[in-house]
Amino acid sequence: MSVSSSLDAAAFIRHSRSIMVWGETSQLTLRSKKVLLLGLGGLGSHVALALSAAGVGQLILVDDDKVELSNLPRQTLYQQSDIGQLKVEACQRALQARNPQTRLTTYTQRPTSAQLQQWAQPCDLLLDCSDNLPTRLLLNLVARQLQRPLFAAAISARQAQLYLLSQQQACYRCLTGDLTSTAQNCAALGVHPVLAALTAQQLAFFSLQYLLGEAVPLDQVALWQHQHFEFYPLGRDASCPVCADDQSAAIGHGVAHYHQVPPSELNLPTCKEPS
Amino acid sequence: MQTILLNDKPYQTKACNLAALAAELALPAACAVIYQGQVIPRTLWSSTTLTSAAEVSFFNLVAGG
Repeated sequence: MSVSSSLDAAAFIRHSRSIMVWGETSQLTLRSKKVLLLGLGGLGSHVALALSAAGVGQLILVDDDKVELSNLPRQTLYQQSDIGQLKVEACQRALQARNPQTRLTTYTQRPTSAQLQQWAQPCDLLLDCSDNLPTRLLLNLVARQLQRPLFAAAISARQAQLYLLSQQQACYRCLTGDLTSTAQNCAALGVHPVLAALTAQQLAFFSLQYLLGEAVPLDQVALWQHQHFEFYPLGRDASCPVCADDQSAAIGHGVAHYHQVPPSELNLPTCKEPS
Repeated sequence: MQTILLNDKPYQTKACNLAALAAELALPAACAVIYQGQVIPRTLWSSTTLTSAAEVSFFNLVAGG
Protein backbone atom coordinates (compact mmCIF):
# COMPACT_ATOMS: atom_id res chain seq x y z
CA MET A 1 0.00 0.00 0.00
CA SER A 2 1.41 3.38 -0.99
CA VAL A 3 1.70 6.13 1.55
CA SER A 4 -0.10 9.29 0.49
CA SER A 5 1.15 12.57 1.87
CA SER A 6 -1.91 13.42 3.94
CA LEU A 7 -5.12 12.06 5.35
CA ASP A 8 -8.47 13.07 3.90
CA ALA A 9 -10.69 15.20 6.10
CA ALA A 10 -12.79 12.37 7.44
CA ALA A 11 -9.74 10.26 8.30
CA PHE A 12 -8.09 13.24 9.95
CA ILE A 13 -11.13 13.87 12.12
CA ARG A 14 -11.51 10.16 12.90
CA HIS A 15 -7.92 9.87 14.09
CA SER A 16 -7.52 13.42 15.41
CA ARG A 17 -7.07 12.37 19.05
CA SER A 18 -4.42 9.82 18.09
CA ILE A 19 -2.71 12.35 15.81
CA MET A 20 -2.38 14.62 18.83
CA VAL A 21 -0.39 11.82 20.44
CA TRP A 22 1.82 10.61 17.60
CA GLY A 23 1.39 13.03 14.70
CA GLU A 24 -0.11 12.80 11.20
CA THR A 25 3.03 11.27 9.69
CA SER A 26 2.78 8.36 12.09
CA GLN A 27 -0.91 8.00 11.35
CA LEU A 28 -0.03 7.73 7.66
CA THR A 29 2.64 5.20 8.57
CA LEU A 30 0.04 3.08 10.37
CA ARG A 31 -2.18 3.20 7.30
CA SER A 32 0.66 1.72 5.24
CA LYS A 33 1.17 -1.25 7.56
CA LYS A 34 -0.01 -4.83 7.14
CA VAL A 35 -0.44 -7.19 10.05
CA LEU A 36 -1.29 -10.87 10.13
CA LEU A 37 -3.40 -11.87 13.14
CA LEU A 38 -3.77 -15.58 13.84
CA GLY A 39 -6.67 -16.37 16.17
CA LEU A 40 -9.76 -14.27 16.82
CA GLY A 41 -10.77 -15.53 20.24
CA GLY A 42 -10.49 -13.88 23.63
CA LEU A 43 -7.22 -12.20 22.70
CA GLY A 44 -7.29 -11.79 18.94
CA SER A 45 -10.76 -10.27 18.70
CA HIS A 46 -9.72 -7.41 21.01
CA VAL A 47 -6.42 -6.94 19.17
CA ALA A 48 -8.16 -6.84 15.79
CA LEU A 49 -10.54 -4.13 16.95
CA ALA A 50 -7.78 -2.08 18.57
CA LEU A 51 -5.53 -2.14 15.51
CA SER A 52 -8.31 -1.47 13.03
CA ALA A 53 -9.74 1.36 15.09
CA ALA A 54 -6.28 2.87 15.50
CA GLY A 55 -5.86 2.99 11.75
CA VAL A 56 -3.63 0.07 10.75
CA GLY A 57 -4.09 -0.14 6.99
CA GLN A 58 -4.51 -3.85 6.39
CA LEU A 59 -5.26 -6.81 8.61
CA ILE A 60 -5.06 -10.42 7.54
CA LEU A 61 -7.35 -12.34 9.89
CA VAL A 62 -7.12 -16.11 10.32
CA ASP A 63 -9.42 -18.32 12.39
CA ASP A 64 -11.41 -21.47 11.68
CA ASP A 65 -13.71 -21.34 14.73
CA LYS A 66 -17.32 -20.29 15.06
CA VAL A 67 -18.71 -18.02 17.77
CA GLU A 68 -20.11 -19.95 20.74
CA LEU A 69 -22.23 -18.84 23.66
CA SER A 70 -19.36 -19.47 26.09
CA ASN A 71 -17.18 -17.04 24.10
CA LEU A 72 -19.33 -13.98 24.70
CA PRO A 73 -18.20 -12.95 28.22
CA ARG A 74 -14.62 -12.34 27.06
CA GLN A 75 -14.90 -12.05 23.27
CA THR A 76 -16.91 -8.88 23.49
CA LEU A 77 -16.54 -8.04 19.82
CA TYR A 78 -19.16 -10.69 19.11
CA GLN A 79 -22.90 -10.44 19.67
CA GLN A 80 -25.50 -12.97 20.72
CA SER A 81 -26.66 -12.93 17.10
CA ASP A 82 -23.18 -14.02 15.95
CA ILE A 83 -23.43 -17.43 17.64
CA GLY A 84 -22.81 -20.13 15.05
CA GLN A 85 -21.16 -17.69 12.63
CA LEU A 86 -17.52 -17.91 11.62
CA LYS A 87 -15.43 -15.64 13.82
CA VAL A 88 -13.61 -14.14 10.84
CA GLU A 89 -16.93 -13.12 9.32
CA ALA A 90 -18.37 -11.72 12.56
CA CYS A 91 -15.09 -9.94 13.23
CA GLN A 92 -14.98 -8.52 9.71
CA ARG A 93 -18.51 -7.12 10.09
CA ALA A 94 -17.72 -5.55 13.45
CA LEU A 95 -14.46 -4.00 12.28
CA GLN A 96 -15.93 -2.65 9.07
CA ALA A 97 -18.82 -1.13 11.01
CA ARG A 98 -16.28 0.65 13.22
CA ASN A 99 -13.72 1.68 10.60
CA PRO A 100 -14.44 0.85 6.95
CA GLN A 101 -11.04 2.23 5.91
CA THR A 102 -9.19 -0.84 7.19
CA ARG A 103 -8.58 -3.40 4.44
CA LEU A 104 -9.45 -6.83 5.75
CA THR A 105 -8.47 -10.17 4.29
CA THR A 106 -9.93 -13.24 5.97
CA TYR A 107 -9.11 -16.93 5.97
CA THR A 108 -11.31 -19.52 7.61
CA GLN A 109 -9.12 -22.58 7.57
CA ARG A 110 -6.55 -23.89 10.02
CA PRO A 111 -3.49 -22.90 7.99
CA THR A 112 -0.69 -25.00 6.63
CA SER A 113 2.88 -23.82 6.72
CA ALA A 114 2.75 -22.93 3.03
CA GLN A 115 -0.43 -20.91 3.46
CA LEU A 116 0.96 -19.04 6.43
CA GLN A 117 4.10 -18.23 4.49
CA GLN A 118 2.05 -16.84 1.63
CA TRP A 119 -0.21 -14.77 3.87
CA ALA A 120 2.59 -13.50 6.10
CA GLN A 121 4.97 -12.58 3.29
CA PRO A 122 3.66 -9.03 2.74
CA CYS A 123 3.18 -8.30 6.44
CA ASP A 124 5.19 -6.00 8.66
CA LEU A 125 4.26 -7.83 11.85
CA LEU A 126 2.87 -11.25 12.76
CA LEU A 127 0.58 -11.59 15.77
CA ASP A 128 -0.18 -14.89 17.43
CA CYS A 129 -3.37 -15.15 19.46
CA SER A 130 -4.01 -18.81 18.63
CA ASP A 131 -5.11 -21.39 21.16
CA ASN A 132 -2.67 -24.27 20.85
CA LEU A 133 1.04 -24.93 20.93
CA PRO A 134 1.45 -26.59 17.50
CA THR A 135 -0.07 -23.57 15.77
CA ARG A 136 2.12 -21.23 17.78
CA LEU A 137 5.21 -23.20 16.84
CA LEU A 138 4.17 -23.18 13.19
CA LEU A 139 3.79 -19.39 13.08
CA ASN A 140 7.08 -19.05 14.94
CA LEU A 141 8.75 -21.12 12.22
CA VAL A 142 7.20 -19.03 9.46
CA ALA A 143 8.20 -15.81 11.21
CA ARG A 144 11.82 -16.94 11.25
CA GLN A 145 11.75 -18.19 7.67
CA LEU A 146 10.40 -14.84 6.48
CA GLN A 147 12.39 -12.80 9.00
CA ARG A 148 9.33 -11.09 10.44
CA PRO A 149 8.85 -10.02 14.05
CA LEU A 150 6.42 -12.19 16.01
CA PHE A 151 4.41 -10.82 18.89
CA ALA A 152 2.27 -13.32 20.77
CA ALA A 153 -0.10 -13.46 23.69
CA ALA A 154 -1.38 -16.49 25.58
CA ILE A 155 -3.80 -16.92 28.44
CA SER A 156 -5.33 -19.58 30.65
CA ALA A 157 -7.31 -19.08 33.84
CA ARG A 158 -5.47 -16.23 35.67
CA GLN A 159 -2.17 -16.72 33.83
CA ALA A 160 -1.25 -14.47 30.93
CA GLN A 161 1.94 -14.21 28.90
CA LEU A 162 3.31 -12.01 26.14
CA TYR A 163 6.19 -12.74 23.77
CA LEU A 164 7.73 -9.86 21.84
CA LEU A 165 10.19 -11.53 19.53
CA SER A 166 12.37 -9.84 16.92
CA GLN A 167 13.94 -11.65 14.00
CA GLN A 168 17.44 -11.63 15.47
CA GLN A 169 17.28 -13.18 18.93
CA ALA A 170 15.62 -16.10 20.68
CA CYS A 171 12.49 -17.54 19.11
CA TYR A 172 9.46 -19.20 20.69
CA ARG A 173 10.94 -22.64 19.98
CA CYS A 174 13.94 -21.75 22.16
CA LEU A 175 11.50 -21.46 25.07
CA THR A 176 9.45 -24.59 24.47
CA GLY A 177 12.15 -27.02 23.41
CA ASP A 178 10.59 -30.32 22.35
CA LEU A 179 7.19 -29.66 23.93
CA THR A 180 4.28 -30.44 21.64
CA SER A 181 1.41 -29.44 23.88
CA THR A 182 0.53 -27.61 27.06
CA ALA A 183 -1.98 -28.82 29.63
CA GLN A 184 -3.33 -25.33 29.97
CA ASN A 185 -6.31 -24.32 27.88
CA CYS A 186 -9.45 -22.30 28.30
CA ALA A 187 -11.84 -25.22 27.90
CA ALA A 188 -10.21 -27.13 30.74
CA LEU A 189 -9.21 -24.36 33.12
CA GLY A 190 -11.34 -21.39 32.17
CA VAL A 191 -10.10 -17.87 31.59
CA HIS A 192 -10.49 -14.56 33.40
CA PRO A 193 -12.55 -12.46 30.97
CA VAL A 194 -11.06 -9.09 31.81
CA LEU A 195 -7.51 -10.39 32.02
CA ALA A 196 -7.98 -11.60 28.44
CA ALA A 197 -8.97 -8.10 27.36
CA LEU A 198 -6.14 -6.53 29.34
CA THR A 199 -3.57 -8.91 27.83
CA ALA A 200 -4.89 -8.26 24.35
CA GLN A 201 -4.71 -4.51 24.83
CA GLN A 202 -1.13 -4.84 26.05
CA LEU A 203 -0.31 -6.77 22.88
CA ALA A 204 -2.11 -4.19 20.75
CA PHE A 205 -0.20 -1.39 22.47
CA PHE A 206 3.19 -2.95 21.73
CA SER A 207 2.09 -3.75 18.19
CA LEU A 208 1.27 -0.10 17.56
CA GLN A 209 4.54 0.94 19.21
CA TYR A 210 6.44 -1.35 16.87
CA LEU A 211 4.55 -0.29 13.74
CA LEU A 212 5.15 3.35 14.63
CA GLY A 213 8.86 2.75 15.18
CA GLU A 214 8.62 3.51 18.87
CA ALA A 215 10.24 1.69 21.78
CA VAL A 216 9.27 -1.93 22.37
CA PRO A 217 10.92 -4.31 24.87
CA LEU A 218 11.91 -6.81 22.19
CA ASP A 219 13.04 -10.36 22.84
CA GLN A 220 11.34 -10.49 26.19
CA VAL A 221 8.67 -12.60 27.81
CA ALA A 222 6.11 -10.75 29.90
CA LEU A 223 4.30 -12.62 32.66
CA TRP A 224 1.20 -11.42 34.49
CA GLN A 225 2.43 -11.36 38.08
CA HIS A 226 1.37 -9.34 41.09
CA GLN A 227 -1.36 -7.54 39.09
CA HIS A 228 0.92 -6.33 36.31
CA PHE A 229 3.15 -7.60 33.51
CA GLU A 230 6.78 -8.23 34.42
CA PHE A 231 9.33 -8.53 31.63
CA TYR A 232 12.18 -11.02 31.39
CA PRO A 233 14.72 -11.42 28.59
CA LEU A 234 14.41 -14.72 26.75
CA GLY A 235 17.66 -16.64 26.48
CA ARG A 236 18.59 -18.13 23.14
CA ASP A 237 19.12 -21.82 22.46
CA ALA A 238 22.28 -22.17 20.40
CA SER A 239 21.02 -25.52 19.11
CA CYS A 240 17.47 -24.36 18.31
CA PRO A 241 16.32 -26.08 15.09
CA VAL A 242 14.35 -22.99 14.11
CA CYS A 243 16.64 -20.03 14.73
CA ALA A 244 20.13 -21.44 15.22
CA ASP A 245 21.07 -20.83 11.60
CA ASP A 246 20.79 -17.07 11.87
CA GLN A 247 22.59 -16.72 15.18
CA SER A 248 25.42 -14.87 13.52
CA ALA A 249 23.11 -11.89 13.68
CA ALA A 250 22.73 -12.16 17.43
CA ILE A 251 23.86 -9.17 19.42
CA GLY A 252 24.30 -11.16 22.58
CA HIS A 253 23.07 -14.43 24.00
CA GLY A 254 19.70 -13.85 25.55
CA VAL A 255 20.22 -10.15 25.98
CA ALA A 256 17.02 -8.27 25.45
CA HIS A 257 17.14 -5.08 23.51
CA TYR A 258 14.78 -2.32 22.59
CA HIS A 259 13.64 -1.29 19.18
CA GLN A 260 15.57 1.93 18.88
CA VAL A 261 14.54 4.92 16.84
CA PRO A 262 17.12 7.37 15.47
CA PRO A 263 16.49 10.84 16.86
CA SER A 264 15.96 12.15 13.35
CA GLU A 265 12.97 9.82 12.95
CA LEU A 266 11.35 10.65 16.24
CA ASN A 267 7.98 12.32 16.10
CA LEU A 268 8.53 15.13 18.48
CA PRO A 269 5.31 16.16 20.19
CA THR A 270 3.53 19.23 18.99
CA CYS A 271 0.99 21.14 21.01
CA LYS A 272 -2.41 21.34 19.39
CA GLU A 273 -5.63 22.72 20.70
CA PRO A 274 -8.26 20.00 21.09
CA SER A 275 -11.11 20.53 18.69
CA MET B 1 22.45 -29.07 49.97
CA GLN B 2 22.08 -25.38 49.20
CA THR B 3 19.43 -22.75 49.69
CA ILE B 4 17.98 -20.94 46.72
CA LEU B 5 15.11 -18.49 46.38
CA LEU B 6 12.37 -20.48 44.66
CA ASN B 7 9.35 -18.49 43.53
CA ASP B 8 10.26 -15.81 46.07
CA LYS B 9 10.66 -18.23 49.01
CA PRO B 10 13.81 -19.85 50.48
CA TYR B 11 14.11 -23.48 49.39
CA GLN B 12 16.73 -26.09 50.24
CA THR B 13 17.71 -28.35 47.37
CA LYS B 14 20.17 -31.06 46.47
CA ALA B 15 19.78 -30.23 42.80
CA CYS B 16 22.87 -28.92 41.08
CA ASN B 17 21.19 -27.60 37.95
CA LEU B 18 17.80 -26.46 36.69
CA ALA B 19 16.87 -29.79 35.14
CA ALA B 20 17.58 -31.59 38.39
CA LEU B 21 15.59 -28.99 40.30
CA ALA B 22 12.60 -29.42 37.98
CA ALA B 23 12.81 -33.19 38.48
CA GLU B 24 13.09 -32.79 42.24
CA LEU B 25 9.96 -30.64 42.24
CA ALA B 26 8.15 -33.10 39.93
CA LEU B 27 7.03 -30.21 37.75
CA PRO B 28 4.78 -30.76 34.75
CA ALA B 29 6.46 -30.81 31.36
CA ALA B 30 4.87 -27.60 30.15
CA CYS B 31 6.66 -25.19 32.42
CA ALA B 32 9.42 -22.65 31.93
CA VAL B 33 11.93 -21.13 34.26
CA ILE B 34 13.33 -17.72 35.09
CA TYR B 35 16.83 -17.98 36.48
CA GLN B 36 18.54 -14.87 37.79
CA GLY B 37 16.10 -12.69 35.90
CA GLN B 38 16.30 -14.43 32.52
CA VAL B 39 14.06 -17.03 30.90
CA ILE B 40 16.26 -20.04 30.23
CA PRO B 41 15.74 -22.19 27.11
CA ARG B 42 14.65 -25.71 28.03
CA THR B 43 17.69 -27.27 26.38
CA LEU B 44 19.98 -25.31 28.68
CA TRP B 45 18.38 -26.42 31.94
CA SER B 46 20.81 -29.27 32.53
CA SER B 47 23.82 -27.07 31.87
CA THR B 48 22.62 -24.18 34.04
CA THR B 49 24.29 -24.68 37.40
CA LEU B 50 22.41 -23.68 40.53
CA THR B 51 24.32 -21.45 42.86
CA SER B 52 23.53 -20.69 46.46
CA ALA B 53 20.97 -17.88 46.86
CA ALA B 54 20.11 -18.00 43.17
CA GLU B 55 16.66 -16.70 42.29
CA VAL B 56 14.58 -19.26 40.44
CA SER B 57 10.95 -19.04 39.37
CA PHE B 58 9.02 -21.67 37.48
CA PHE B 59 5.88 -20.80 35.57
CA ASN B 60 3.36 -22.70 33.49
CA LEU B 61 3.54 -22.23 29.75
CA VAL B 62 0.06 -21.40 28.54
CA ALA B 63 -1.10 -21.42 24.95
CA GLY B 64 -4.73 -20.41 25.18
CA GLY B 65 -6.14 -17.60 23.15
